[in-house]
Amino acid sequence: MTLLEAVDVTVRFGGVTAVGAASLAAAAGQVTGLIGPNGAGKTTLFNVITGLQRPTRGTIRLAGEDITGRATHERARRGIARTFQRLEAFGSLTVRENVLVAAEIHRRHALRRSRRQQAPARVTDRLIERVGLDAYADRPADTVPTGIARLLELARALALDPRLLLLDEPSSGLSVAETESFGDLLRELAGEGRAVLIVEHDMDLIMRVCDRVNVLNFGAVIASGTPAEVRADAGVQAAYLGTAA
Amino acid sequence: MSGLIAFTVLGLVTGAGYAVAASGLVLTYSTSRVFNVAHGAIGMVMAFLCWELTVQRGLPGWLAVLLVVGVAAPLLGAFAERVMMRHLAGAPEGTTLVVTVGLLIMLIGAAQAIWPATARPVEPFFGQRGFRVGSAFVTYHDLVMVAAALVVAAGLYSLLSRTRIGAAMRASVDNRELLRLYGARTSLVSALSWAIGAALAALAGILLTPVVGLSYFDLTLLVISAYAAAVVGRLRSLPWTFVGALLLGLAQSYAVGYLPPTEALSGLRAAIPALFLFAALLLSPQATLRVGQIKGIAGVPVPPARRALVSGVLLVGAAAAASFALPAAQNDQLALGFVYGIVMLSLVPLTGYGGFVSLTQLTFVGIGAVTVARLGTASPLGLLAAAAVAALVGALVALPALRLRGLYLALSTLAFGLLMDKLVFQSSLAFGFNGSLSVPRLAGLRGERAYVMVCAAAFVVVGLGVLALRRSGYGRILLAMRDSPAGCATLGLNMRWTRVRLFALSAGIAGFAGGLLGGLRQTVAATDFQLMGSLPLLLLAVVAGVTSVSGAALGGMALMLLPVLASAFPALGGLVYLLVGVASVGLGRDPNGVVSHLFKLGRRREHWRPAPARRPPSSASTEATRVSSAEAEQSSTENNSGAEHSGTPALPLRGAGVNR
Repeated sequence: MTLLEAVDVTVRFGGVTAVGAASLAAAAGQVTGLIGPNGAGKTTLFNVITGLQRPTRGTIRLAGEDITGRATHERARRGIARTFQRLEAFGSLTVRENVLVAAEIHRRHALRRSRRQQAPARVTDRLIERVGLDAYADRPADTVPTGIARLLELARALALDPRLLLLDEPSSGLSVAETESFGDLLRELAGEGRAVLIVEHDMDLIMRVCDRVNVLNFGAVIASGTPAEVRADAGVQAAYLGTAA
Repeated sequence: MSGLIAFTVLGLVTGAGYAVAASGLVLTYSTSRVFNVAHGAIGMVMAFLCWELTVQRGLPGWLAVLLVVGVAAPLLGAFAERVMMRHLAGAPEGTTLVVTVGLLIMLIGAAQAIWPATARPVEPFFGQRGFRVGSAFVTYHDLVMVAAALVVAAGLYSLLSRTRIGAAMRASVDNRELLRLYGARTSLVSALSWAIGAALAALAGILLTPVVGLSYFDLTLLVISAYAAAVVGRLRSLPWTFVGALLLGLAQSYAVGYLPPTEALSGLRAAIPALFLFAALLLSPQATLRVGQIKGIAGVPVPPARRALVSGVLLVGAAAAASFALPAAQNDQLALGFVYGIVMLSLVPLTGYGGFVSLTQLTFVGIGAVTVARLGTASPLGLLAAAAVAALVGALVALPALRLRGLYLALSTLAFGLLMDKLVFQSSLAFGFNGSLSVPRLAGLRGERAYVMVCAAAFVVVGLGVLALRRSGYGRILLAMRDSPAGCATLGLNMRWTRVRLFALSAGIAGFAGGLLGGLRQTVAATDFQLMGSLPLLLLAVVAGVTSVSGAALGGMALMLLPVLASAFPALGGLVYLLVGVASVGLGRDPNGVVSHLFKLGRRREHWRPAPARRPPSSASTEATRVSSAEAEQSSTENNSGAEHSGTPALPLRGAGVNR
C-alpha cells in the first residue's frame, strides 16, 4: 500500500532549481531508497516532505491526505518522523533525554496512537536498547561520536512510532559491521509495517535492504525500480560515472 | 492642507534620519549575524563627541562631523568588532544580544562619566535658516538629512554591488568558512561592516540630535526606531529598510500632528516606533525553520532535589543570621538582593533554558508592583494576582513575534518596554504622570527582619520551582527547543504555544517579584521600572550565570550591591561599567557565566574522565565503558572489519553473520 506520494515537487531557490518536478512514492512495509550524486536535491526533497521547506509547486500526500499546506509539527503528529544529514540532536540533553523528550511529545500530541501506548520512560528504555545506545545513554548528546548521534536521531524518530520514517544518510559515521546490523534493523522496521525512505551513499547497503530505489539527478527522478533494475539502468550509470547520457 | 504638507515634510526628514541609522544596523547584522543593540548608543556617544568638538573645542561643524563620522566612529566600530564580537560568530543569538547590551551599558557609562548630565542645547546646522516649499518651511538642516540619506543609499548600493569587498560582505552572511576558503579575509569584511555601521550610527545620531535632544537615553533608544524600520526589510533588504524608515517618520509626524495632545498621549511620539514595530511584526510572513544551526550550551549540572532543598534551607538560615547582624536600613538592602534574585530567576527558564532573551524584565516587575498597589491588599493573594497579571501581559508581548525567530522576540520586548515607559506607566492606569503609588506590605509582618526572611524564602521556593521545571518534561522541551527548533518541529511540537507559555511563566515570576519589591519599597514610581534599568539587570544575570539558581542568587546580590559600591566609592564610578563590559566580553567564550566557573573549580576532579573510546555495549551495559584493552583487542580481531575500526558495532547484532 502506498503511504507517501510526492507528486511533481518543484523547489526553486531564486533562479536555481533544486528539485524539478520530482515524483516518488513510498509503500508501507517497504524500504525505499533515494540515491543520487551530491547536490541532486535529496535532502531538499526530505525537507519538502517534512514541511521544513515549502515547495514552489507540487503535492505531498500521506495515506491519501493532502498534507502540502500542513506545518512540520502537524505532519509529525500524523506519523512522519525523520533524521537529519546535518545532525539536529539536542546537544545539551543526554542521549536518553533526547529520546525521552520525543516520546513525551508523542504521547501528548500524536493524532494517531497505537492501542496500548506505553509510558514514555518505558518506550525510551526499549528504544535505547533496540538501537544499541545503552553505553551512551547518560552522556550529553553533543559529546558522542557522529555515528552514535545518528543512531540517537533514529531512536528519537522511532519514539514517535512513525508510519513513515525518513533517514538522511544514516550510515555515515558507522563502521562496516555497524552498518551491517543497521541494515537488519531497517528490514525489521519495514517488517513492522512502516514505510522507510532512506537517502544513502552506501550502495552496498542500498542494494541489500531496499525494495525499490529512486535515483535523483539534478533535481529530477531519472530512474526507479528494484535495486537490480536500477543498477542496470544506463542513465544511472551515466549520472554516477559521468559519461554522456 | 498646509498642515498636511508641513507634517509630511517633517515626517520624511525624520524618516531620512531613521533610514541612515537603520541601514547601518542592517549592514552590520547581515554581515556579522550580530544584532547590535548598542547601535543607538554608538550614535549617542558620537553625537556627544561632536558636541564636544564644536561647542567646547570650537571646531567648525563640517570638520567635527568629518572627524566623528569618518574617523572616531569607524574606529570605535572596528574596535568593538575586534574585541567583543569576533568570537561571537556562530554563538547563540541570545549570547550575541547580551554582549551588545554590555557594549550599550559601557557606552552609556562612559558618556555619563565624560559628559556629566547638564542641559546641552544643540543648534541645527545652519541654525533655523531654510526656504519655503509651498506652504511648508524646510530648514537647510532638513535638507542635509535627506541628502545624507540619499548619499548613504547610493553609497551602500555601490559598495555592495559594485566592489569586491562588498560582494564578500554579502557572501559572508551565507558561509563564513567557505568564504575564507576562497581567500577572502573574513575578519576584514566583518571589521569593515562594523566600522561602516558605527559611522552610520554616528551620522544618524548627529543629524537627529536637534530633533531628539542630546540625551543619553533618547539617542540610545534610536536603535528601536532603526530596528522598527529594519523589520520592514526583514533585517536583510536595504531598500525596504529605507521604505520602513520613511513610513515610520511619517507615522510619527502625523500622530503628533493630528492626535489630540492630551496628557495620556504625551509619550505617544516616543512610543510610535514601538507601535509601528508591533504592526510590522504582525504583518511579517512566517519565518522558516533553519536547519543546521549552531548550538550546544553545556548546561550547569542540575542538583538533585534533596541537595537543592538543603541548600535552600541553609540560604534562609543564612539570611536570618545576616538580618540580625545588620542594622535595619541594610536589612532592606538584603531583602532587595533577594527580590532581584527572584527577578533573575525569572530569566533562568526563559534565557538559561529556552535561549530567549527579554530586554525588559523590569517592566514586568513594574506591572506586578502596580497590580499590588492598585489592589491595595496586604494578603499574599496580592502577590499571586501580580504574577497572574504580569504573566498575561507577557503572553501578549510574545504573541506578535510568535511566528518569528527568537531575535525578533527579544527586540519586541525592547519595544514593549519603551511603550510601557512612555505610555502606560505614565498614564492614570498605572502611576500617573510623574506620579507614584504606595504599596502595602504583606499583613502580619513586623519589621525589616521578617521581610528579609519572607524574601529569602520566596527566592528559595521559586528557585526550587525552577529546578523542578528543569527536571520535568517541560524543562526538557525547553532545552530541546533551544538546541534544535527544527528537530522539535519534526517531533510534532508546536513551538508557538510553548514560547508563549514560557514568556508568560517568566513574566509571571517577575511580576511576583514586583509585588514583593513594592512591599519592600512601599512607594514605587515609574522610574523604578524603566527599560534602561532592565539592561544592566539582564547583563548581570547572564554574567553571574543565567543557567542556574545559584547564578540568580549571585546576580541578585550583585545588582543590589553595585549602586551601594558606586556611592560608597565614587571614584569607582565608570569603573563599574567597565568591569561589567569586560565581563560581557567573556560571555562569548562561556555563556554559563561566573557561577559555572565556581562549579568547575569544585568539581574539576570529580568530572575528569578519559575521553571514552567507542566501546561495544556488552550485555551487562554498566561495564561497557570499562572494557579491558585485552577484550577490545579480541573483539577487533573477531570483527575483522578493517583497520580503522576497533570496536564491535553499537547496534546489537541479531544473528546476522558477517559474511562477505
